[in-house]
Amino acid sequence: MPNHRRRILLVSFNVAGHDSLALGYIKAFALNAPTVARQTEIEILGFSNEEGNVRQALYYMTEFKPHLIGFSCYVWSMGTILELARSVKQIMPRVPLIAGGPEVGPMADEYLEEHPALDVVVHDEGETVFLDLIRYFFAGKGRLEDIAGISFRRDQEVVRNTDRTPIKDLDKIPSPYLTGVLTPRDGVTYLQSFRGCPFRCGFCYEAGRHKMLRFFSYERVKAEVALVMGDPSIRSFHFVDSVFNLNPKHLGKLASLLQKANRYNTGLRTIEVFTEQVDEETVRYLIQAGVQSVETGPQTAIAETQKRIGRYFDAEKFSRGVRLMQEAGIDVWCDLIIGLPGDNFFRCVFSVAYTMGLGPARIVISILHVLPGTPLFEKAERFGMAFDPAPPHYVIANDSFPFDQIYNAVLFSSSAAKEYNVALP
Amino acid sequence: MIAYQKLCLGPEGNNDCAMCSVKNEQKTCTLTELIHQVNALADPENLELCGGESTLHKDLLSLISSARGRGAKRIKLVTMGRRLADWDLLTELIDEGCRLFEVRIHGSRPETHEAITGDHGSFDQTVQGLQNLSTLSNSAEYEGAIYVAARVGVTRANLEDLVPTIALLASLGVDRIILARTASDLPTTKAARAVENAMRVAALNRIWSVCEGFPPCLMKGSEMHVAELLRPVLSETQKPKGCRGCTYIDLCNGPPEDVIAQGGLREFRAVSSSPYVEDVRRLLTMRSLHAEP
Ligand code: SF4
Ligand code: SF4
Repeated sequence: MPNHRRRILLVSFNVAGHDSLALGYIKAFALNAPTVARQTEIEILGFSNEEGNVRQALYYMTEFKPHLIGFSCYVWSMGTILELARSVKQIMPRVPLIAGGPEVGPMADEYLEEHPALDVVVHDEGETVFLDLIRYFFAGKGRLEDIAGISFRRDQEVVRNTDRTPIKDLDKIPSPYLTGVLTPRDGVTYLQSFRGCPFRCGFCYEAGRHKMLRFFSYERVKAEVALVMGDPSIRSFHFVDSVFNLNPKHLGKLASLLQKANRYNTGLRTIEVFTEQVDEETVRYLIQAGVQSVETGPQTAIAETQKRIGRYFDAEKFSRGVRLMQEAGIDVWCDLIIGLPGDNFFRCVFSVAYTMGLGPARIVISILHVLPGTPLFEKAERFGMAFDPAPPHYVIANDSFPFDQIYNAVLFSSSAAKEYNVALP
Repeated sequence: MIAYQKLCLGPEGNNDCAMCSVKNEQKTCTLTELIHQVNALADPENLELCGGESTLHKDLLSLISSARGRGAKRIKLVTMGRRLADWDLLTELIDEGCRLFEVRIHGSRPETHEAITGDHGSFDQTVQGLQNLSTLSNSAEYEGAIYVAARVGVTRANLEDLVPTIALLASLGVDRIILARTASDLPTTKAARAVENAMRVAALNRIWSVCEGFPPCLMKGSEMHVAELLRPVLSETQKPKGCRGCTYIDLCNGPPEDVIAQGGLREFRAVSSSPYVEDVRRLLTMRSLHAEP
């Protein structure tokens, strides 16, 4: 019997071996609609970002023959996705190409104007929007103009619809793991207990989004945790929460449910913490939760810079938080960003020295990406920001940090971090 | 950047370097003595093993193993690199826990390097040692797990060869280059310009480089690469008159002693202001930059 189901392909380029949680949510939400589940076939196609080969992806597409393609767009994969979209459009001109994700959402109209291969760009969270788009394209339901949360091209014109209010009750999005959309695997399983972030760090795309925090129910998180921790082959997994130690009450609840489910000594790795808030109670909860390693700032150790980019930073509290976690046996990874406004070469040297003094398990250096939608992107002029408008949006200079200093700070910090990181346990 | 505790293994060397400061009357430490020294350290996390020629010490592997057992996480070997040409020895050192190397090389050609080491054949062995380190660093097993710095002694003999030396080191994938003023017969300003140029070439090749022994007044425009400014200490050295009013006066040890002795002070002129000095001073508060006594 011929298969008349409409085929949807969801494409992402990730770190090798990792699945896209975002596409897992989108697929799980779409399949929750009975007609969509009956009438469509949704496939998630994940490529390694390092080796992702556009022609290989294209070949897969010609084999799968999709009727609709969605791309999950991040700063690291955008160039590849645009190349792929241009090629797909040549050989499948009638297949709608939809882009979503933090790289395109805040610049939806610009992306449509500059990249004719794209048909629709989703402004923000994709679950409900994508379901409406499936209904529109396959069942002819409604009009594109009425789908909030997208921009689209009509007769060479870019039309921008109103933004969509994000889903309040996150439990309406079925769990990709509990529904079998994604399979939990060792080291690359990502859970989430809430969306949003209470902080507004200038370089972070979370800071440009909704301030409101939205939570999955504890029952839902508990069920996912039970599934993941019930599998003895999973030695460690992650939470993608913006701040795992959001507040003692939330952390305490998570710690308790994680501890109860932990039959095989499974660990939580590289979760993000707000270190200034880490006290003895927090550490007890982190240990109870099975946390083995955390990733944290300071991004810079210069108080003036932290203030300029809207971050709270207290060097003493930060050091104390790191020490408490280390004393409890938790590996602390410290991140530093080169190119922040307020910093300069010797201030970066100071930040590296401060961070080394904390004795973290690892120092991670990155160059500032001035990401669309972030406060630094929005207020670029105020900070004298020069940056590449195309992804990965690397900073070029700012009002305190000329390019030659940024260039040398990257060389210095990378060398210093490598010297530090070769430490043996 | 990391503050290392130094352990001098002994004076034994396999070169005859013109500028060597290690006295032959110093005696080679025994393994027991060296272990005592490690045990006496409050924090043995970062150790630097130097000589003479560290790789000639007969108990080097045992020392590394003992130091690891006593909590050393970073063991840096300072060496002429000749014995690293021996692949088996090198892999043994690495497997025992020595992951950082500071290799001394003084030129891009045997003529310049050996003019300083005074030993024919030493250049090829040092380069082979660096090549072996590069091969291992790029192997899947040790990717990101070996750190190699190259120390180039700047002398009159290799001034013209500094840029080719940087090019050679770039091809060998080193992680840092140190250009250290070593000889007293050096034409100061000419050497500073040659070093500055070499550091520029290193940056173009995306390699971090620093200079040592060149006061900031000689390195205007290259202050970011002056090692003494990256890890400043308050200096109490008496300075000649020309240094008066210099913004770096308490952060700089003044003109090198040999230059003072030769009366060549005209090249050192007080720096009236610098956009960097305030942030350099901030580094004085960073205790992590210096090894605890
Ligand atoms: S960096 Fe972390 S804490 Fe800051 S806004 Fe982003 S997610 Fe929130
Ligand atoms: S003038 Fe003197 S104190 Fe100033 S940088 Fe030169 S040598 Fe140092």
